[in-house]
Amino acid sequence: MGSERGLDPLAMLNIVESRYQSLLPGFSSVTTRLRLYSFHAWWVTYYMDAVHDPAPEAFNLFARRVEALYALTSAQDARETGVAGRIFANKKLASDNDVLDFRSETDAGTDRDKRYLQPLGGAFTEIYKTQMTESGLLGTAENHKLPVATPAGRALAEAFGTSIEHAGEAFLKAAEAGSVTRNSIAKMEIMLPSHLDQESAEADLLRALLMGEDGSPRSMARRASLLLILRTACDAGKAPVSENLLRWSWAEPNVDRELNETERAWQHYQSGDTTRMVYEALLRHATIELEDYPVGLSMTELCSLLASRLPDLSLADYLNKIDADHSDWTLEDLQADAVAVEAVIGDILAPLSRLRQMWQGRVEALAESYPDRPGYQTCYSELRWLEDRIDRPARTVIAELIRERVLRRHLDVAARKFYISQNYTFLVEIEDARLRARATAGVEMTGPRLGTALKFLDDVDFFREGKITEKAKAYLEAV
Amino acid sequence: MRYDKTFRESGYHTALLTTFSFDPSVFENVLLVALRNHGSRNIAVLADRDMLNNTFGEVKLAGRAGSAYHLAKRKVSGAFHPKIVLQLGDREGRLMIGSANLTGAGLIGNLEAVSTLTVTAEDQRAAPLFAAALEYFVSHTDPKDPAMSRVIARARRQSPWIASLSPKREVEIDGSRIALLFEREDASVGDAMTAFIGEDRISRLIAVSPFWDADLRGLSRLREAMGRPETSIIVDPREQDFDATALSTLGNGVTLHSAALHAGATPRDANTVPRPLHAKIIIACGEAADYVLSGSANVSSAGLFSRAGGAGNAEAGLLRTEPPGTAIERLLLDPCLAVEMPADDLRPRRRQIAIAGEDAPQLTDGGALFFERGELTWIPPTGRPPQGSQIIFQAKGAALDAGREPSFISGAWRVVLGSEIDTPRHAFIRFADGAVSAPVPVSALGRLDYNARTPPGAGPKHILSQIGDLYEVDLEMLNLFLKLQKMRQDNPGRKREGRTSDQDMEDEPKTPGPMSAEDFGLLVEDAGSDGAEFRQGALADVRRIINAKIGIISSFEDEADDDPLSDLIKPEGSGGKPPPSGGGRHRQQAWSSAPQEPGTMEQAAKRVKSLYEHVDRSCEALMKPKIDPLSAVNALGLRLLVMSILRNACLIGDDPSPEHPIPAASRQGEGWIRLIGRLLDRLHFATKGYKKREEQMDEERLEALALLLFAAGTILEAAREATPKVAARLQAINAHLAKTTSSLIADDSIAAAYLERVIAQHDKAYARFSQACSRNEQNAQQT
Repeated sequence: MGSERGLDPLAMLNIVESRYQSLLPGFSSVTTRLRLYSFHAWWVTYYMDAVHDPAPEAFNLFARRVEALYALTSAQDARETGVAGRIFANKKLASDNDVLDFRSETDAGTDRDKRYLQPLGGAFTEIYKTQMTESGLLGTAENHKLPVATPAGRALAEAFGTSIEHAGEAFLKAAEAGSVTRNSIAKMEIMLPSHLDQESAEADLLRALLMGEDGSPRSMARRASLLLILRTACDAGKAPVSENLLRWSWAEPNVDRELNETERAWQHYQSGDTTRMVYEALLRHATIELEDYPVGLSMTELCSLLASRLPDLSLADYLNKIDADHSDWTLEDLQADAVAVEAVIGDILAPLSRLRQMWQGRVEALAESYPDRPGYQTCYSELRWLEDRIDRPARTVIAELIRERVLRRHLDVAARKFYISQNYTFLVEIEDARLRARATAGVEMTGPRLGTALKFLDDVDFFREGKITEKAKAYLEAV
Repeated sequence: MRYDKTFRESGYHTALLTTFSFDPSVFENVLLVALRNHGSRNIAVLADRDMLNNTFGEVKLAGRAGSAYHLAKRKVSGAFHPKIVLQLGDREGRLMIGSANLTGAGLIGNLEAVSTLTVTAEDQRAAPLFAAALEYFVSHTDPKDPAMSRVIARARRQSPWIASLSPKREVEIDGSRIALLFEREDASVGDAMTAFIGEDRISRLIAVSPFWDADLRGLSRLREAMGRPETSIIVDPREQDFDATALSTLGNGVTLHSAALHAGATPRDANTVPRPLHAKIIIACGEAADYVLSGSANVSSAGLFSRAGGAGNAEAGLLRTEPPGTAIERLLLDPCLAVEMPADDLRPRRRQIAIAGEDAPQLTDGGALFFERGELTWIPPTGRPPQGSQIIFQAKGAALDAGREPSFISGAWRVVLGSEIDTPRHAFIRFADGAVSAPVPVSALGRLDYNARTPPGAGPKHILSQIGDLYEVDLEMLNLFLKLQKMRQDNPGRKREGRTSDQDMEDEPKTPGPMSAEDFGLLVEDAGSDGAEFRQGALADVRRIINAKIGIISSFEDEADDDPLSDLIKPEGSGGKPPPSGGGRHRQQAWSSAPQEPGTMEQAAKRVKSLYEHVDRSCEALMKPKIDPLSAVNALGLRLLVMSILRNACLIGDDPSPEHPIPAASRQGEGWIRLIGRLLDRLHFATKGYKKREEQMDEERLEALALLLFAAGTILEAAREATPKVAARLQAINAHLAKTTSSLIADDSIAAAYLERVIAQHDKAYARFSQACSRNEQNAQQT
């Protein structure tokens, strides 16, 4: 049928994602361990120097072999996390064979579900290549399409080679052969992420890479966010720092001073994400309402029905009332309440009301992160939209908001997706000039890479069990 | 094949569609794009008047109606309900008749049934039915509707095979009788079905429908006409129009079933509702055949027993015979029929809700509006006196007009708008009694005619054709070039548009041969550089077009005249042959369209704003590290940008005009001197440390350098006169550019000669600048 629930049903997600991606470039939510950058730089450099076959098939086979072997090495220790191919490796290790032959699982001709990983280019091509290129470790070759190590990538590869001593030679030999003995992989554990010697040259390079010490604009953006994490952790004292703690403490900062650029940017990000979620929650609320009417409701009927549940107040009074009723709630609490399936319209609008209060008189500051362009629907555009109608009756404005900014927006977005991707992502659809429920979709927060940031800081001994380490404190002092 | 995907098939120039329900978003973003991209440009939609008014008033306007396609309203006493898609090509056609409206639900959301017939050049057996379908379509159009008349005339002209046919309502193909049924003055759809079956004894009747009469009288009448056979009713399990009591009045031999058991109704996941039943199918199982009617008619009195001109609906369906005992299985109805639905499960349909203080909108029809040559023509709706009405129209991006009263001139209600107003897109009618109509889309006849032209090809071919059709290098060409480039970036697998027999096809990317470690690891200086690939592809054709327009033609004289591109840029009406005086496709402007009208200052201001934005973006890009400003793609982009600025540049001493709106210099913002100067300044930055490499000095780079040198000289001359303060800086930029160029072409006499020739060609193409310089010099001397 080609029917799919629509992700990003209001086309408000991309701009929010772009916002956080620009704050933490160089890794993603699926890059799992920092030392994998060393590992990939190492074998790519070896391929350049020793194999240098420009055929993509040869390169991909090599990538699959080293990744599969790395997965086998990693699976020996259940505590080692973040290495792709674990299911394959566990299965392989569970066999009785002393020699582990992985040629079939890494062969391009093997069925997808029998490979160590389904993509032919492995995790490297799918995940790490782009991020390592963004980080300046890999570059584009002049004579072929395969990735090659930059001088920075080569330096990291050499440091990794030094760290792993003689294991590297055996590893490459086994990877090229496509088989390894149990005895051999036991000696390769030194290559794994958690075996990084924190005092080694490799660790220094990884720290410098992570903390953006090369000074490029992207690196500086990442550096600013990571320093903010470390400083927030310092301020948190004994409380363990989590992804959630970071995002919400930055969303509603409890400080008297003026925020710096990075803090402001993270606050903008969260305001954008919350606005998006409120709008998606309104769409779901409307859809659930429609489910009671199989033949559908007219747009006017539906919007009036939803808005009729609001008190007879001006929008300003209504939003102020919501905020006063929730004065001791955090934005985090308000958002959690708003996205619950059973949320009533007042609950859904509460985070928006908080954002309005937060940005009152300075909404233009949001233009830094969310430019005013045709088609852009962001916290900047929406808070201004509300402000322009603030003295009108709440029922009228919210009915208009649901009609124009939610339902019609969704119909337009879904129609374009229908043509472009040929997937039917309508959550509400039009039939006989009426709106009809088609499907509901969950309302989810974006994952702004903060989890990965914390893990990577942990990987270089800047963070341990949610707390900043002495090494990181020393680093901060030196900055 | 999935119904929505059928609209992505090529081979047709015309699409005539009818519908009851219409979703402008889905039609314009899905079907219209698919149809137009696949060659159908002559498009008309006929929709139920009240439903369309409700949609416009309640849901959304149809933004492209009246421009990219013609949308007409049809009112009958009941509902205008047929769902027909008639597609016509030069020698082939496709007719789809079914239950699916032109909505997302109709295309994929609902459980629908659509029957398809095709004719080809070789097999014309179904063609008489196509002629009947066209005749039926025409019978529901307003003869006073000029846009529809033109669509129909174009369809007939371009499909002579259908124009010469006598319509027939029934044909026989491979032993199967196929009939096109619709409401007629002498017979309803139900009557026609009964007549079609004739004397054959019907043992079982299966009726599938989402909507029914509350007392099931339509079904009852059909059943009586067929001799009261055993009857199975398949309904949408969620809501129905009749209850158990009504069901019991049909007597024995009637069973109830749920459509939810049909394989196509299953929801994709727990968050998705089951596909609502919208298919309308009647199967009469006879001794000689199964008779299967599939179309728009619900199993109701209004659906099955309405006659033309009388009360009730307009409906259409295809009725065909199938081998006896086969239809149920073919339509996958066995699972539904295997399980009976208890009559107690019937639930009355809820049609609308009452909201305190909110009346259901009453939308008044506003008739039809047409725009041509500055004049708005109004066909008033029936039943309302047109006298004293006002037309309140809105052009794209403009505010609503205050309202103008039409006058009855030469047999029609007209408003002369003049040339100062852009084409109105839609309007409201305020009637003398104060009632305001639902929005009425305005059919712009000229635009519809233009948009109905047969396209030369899709994708890059089409864009190239558009580029070739442009009279001169201007913003529009730059935008098309960027579109082409984006298309190329979005389809990385199609980047290598190698010149093969079909330009849209590409060569398989070739893997380079074995190489040394040193060669393997060599990093590119510019990750965006793609010269070799560029020279083979569609973008290279853009360069050839620009060069032809500038008159740089000699380097291509050896190219064959039968290049596919030549056909793409031929204007309509050339008879498929190169123009006799052209002497080849590279003659300057040989096939270009006429120059565009300069338009209004407002339009020019938009153009200028867009050019400024392009310059901003280019300057920003030129500041990026490792950018090669003269890579094949960048060189072409820069050329188009600079040429677009020059095209819009107003000469010193002249006032900005719609044709040349950018002043040389201005206090408020940048003039063209600073605009180009800024670009050259950034270029200065980007080419610092530019090293000579053998392959760098190819023709693309030389052409770009030639233009830049010409532009640098032109703005320096102009700055000395208009903005002496910046002249010193421009002098430095000029010197740097000259120095860089001479170092790049040092010891390369061929490159130097080519550069000189291209500069000279620019001098000729932009002679107005040098003429202005001389004029100003003379003026200065006289003063």
